[in-house]
Amino acid sequence: MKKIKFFLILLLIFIGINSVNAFDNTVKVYDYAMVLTTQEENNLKQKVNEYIDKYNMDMVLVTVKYHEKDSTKEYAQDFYDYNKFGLNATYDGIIFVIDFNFGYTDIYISTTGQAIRMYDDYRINSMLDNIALKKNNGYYSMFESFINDGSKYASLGIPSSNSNTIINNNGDLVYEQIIPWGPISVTSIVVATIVLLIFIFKNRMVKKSINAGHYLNKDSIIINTRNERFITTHTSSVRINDSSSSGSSGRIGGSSISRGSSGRSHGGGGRRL
Amino acid sequence: MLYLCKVGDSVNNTLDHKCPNCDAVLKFNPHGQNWKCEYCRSEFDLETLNKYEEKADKTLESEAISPENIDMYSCPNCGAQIIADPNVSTTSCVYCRNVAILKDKLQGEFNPDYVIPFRYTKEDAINAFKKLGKGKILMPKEFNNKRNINEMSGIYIPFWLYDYNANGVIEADCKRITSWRSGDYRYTKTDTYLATRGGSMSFDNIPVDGSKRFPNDIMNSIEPFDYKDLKEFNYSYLSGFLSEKYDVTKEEAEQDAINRAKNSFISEMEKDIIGYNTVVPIKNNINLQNIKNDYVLLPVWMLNIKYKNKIYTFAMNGQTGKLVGNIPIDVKKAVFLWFFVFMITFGIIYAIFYFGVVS
Repeated sequence: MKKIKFFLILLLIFIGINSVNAFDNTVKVYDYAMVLTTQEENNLKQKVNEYIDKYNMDMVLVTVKYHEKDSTKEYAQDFYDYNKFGLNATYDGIIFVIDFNFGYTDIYISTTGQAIRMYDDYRINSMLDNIALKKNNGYYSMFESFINDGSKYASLGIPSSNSNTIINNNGDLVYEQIIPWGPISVTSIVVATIVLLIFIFKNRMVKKSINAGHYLNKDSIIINTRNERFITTHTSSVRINDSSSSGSSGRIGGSSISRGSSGRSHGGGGRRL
Repeated sequence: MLYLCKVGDSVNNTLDHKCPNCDAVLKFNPHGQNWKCEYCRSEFDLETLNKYEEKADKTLESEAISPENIDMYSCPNCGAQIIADPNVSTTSCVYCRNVAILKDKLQGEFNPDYVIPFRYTKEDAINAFKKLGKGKILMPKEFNNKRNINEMSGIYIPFWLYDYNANGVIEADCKRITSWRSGDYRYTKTDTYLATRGGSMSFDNIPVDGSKRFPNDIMNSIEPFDYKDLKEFNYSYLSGFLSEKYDVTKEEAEQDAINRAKNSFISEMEKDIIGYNTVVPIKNNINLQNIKNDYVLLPVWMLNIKYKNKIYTFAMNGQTGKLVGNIPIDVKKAVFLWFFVFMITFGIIYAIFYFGVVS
């Protein structure tokens, strides 16, 4: 009987440890800085779940006081990626972090998957502006502003700045694959015609000779006058349009993107209030 | 042996070699560069034949050649009467196909200075024609079939050879282009210079076709001939082949040689102007001094190919074996090739775009 009690205690300890380590990514609102009341948390959770159900995109709210990341941006991206947030194959979703780690109130919105397209730089900045305005009304109001603006823009759909972009299978924002049928066709026609002409000219072996190179006595060539006179110079300039492509960070369509430590692409932006 | 016989009252001035052993007609053998009897297989060099010619000439010294009768000849092989074109100096008998040399046509001003003997035989020319399709995928499948050869003749064609000393000056517009990037701009600087080059050079034996009958571009295309094989003219080389006398004088033909020499002079001077991106000759002053002219007979195999009721003329350099002519295009093959290349190109470019975007 004593042995059974001992094993039951061990089992309870094991379950307890696991329950402490396991992260529940269904909660969606994580107030590690303890700046929200329980009621506020519950209200926010309800709004977040409504957003998730309506727009098929994940939404996460975080307040944090201490962490070991170098920036709020890094914290937000890693929190989202390593805690396996996001819906669908491309981990679509948006996270809003209020960070007190650096002695200031830093706010950051990070987007992933389809949310990168949905929330372009303009929309992110607009949301950050509105959040900043609510600073004096409390953190709940800031979260509320974020959810409201997020829902508003989600209901408007993809902004025109990202209309020619897509999220590929890797979750990266790329320009939409528009096959330039016209140029491909024209190039193919030109190449085919050139090849055909080459073979046609191979059948034309008769050519009138216009020079007498074969009959030139090479040893007889004497060049005794060599003169070069400068006449004129002309300089023109053309502006170079660099079209930068996506790398570890950059801008595609209307969204600035960067790659998190997990390797996943994110959009978004932040402020120090 | 020089063989001459009479036609009516006139002197028969056709010429052929007869085998000293069996009296059959001898023909020039391009591979052996000698004369061979097709009946008794005897072979003779030029020196041996000349001895026989001298002997025959003596017997004919008393007989005068009558210029009034130069268009009618008697075949030395079968005796049939031959009516020849005024410009041909060798003709073939329509009855026995024997080739007869019309000696008087090549006398006086028409007596060539030199001749390059044939090195390629009729069989060589046929084989070259059969191999014509190599690398020419648009040629109709049956075009180079031997049975399409409508007419084939080994002909000595009259050419004028011109030697020139050229001296002069050319001026060229030259551009040196440099390009660099500074900030968001690419700059292109174009410096223009006027380059002058002057000097001299010489040309040896520029050939110009002396016969109106043969297209100049075809005769140009079978060049060059190797003049190391030039021989003092001897009628003996003509046996077995047709030949023509010139009907374009050396003065009429010379402009072609002058143009070619001038173009080559400009080209050589242009090669000396280096260090520029573009060199465009704009002015020249070239003097050509004609040093020497020669009248020569050069060997050419002419092939008339009949394909779908149309005649295509081909010529093969009888010395070097270079065969030229315009080959007809098989329209179906051309359309297929065009679509094939189009599809391949389209597929490759599409794949580049597709995989480029996806990756």
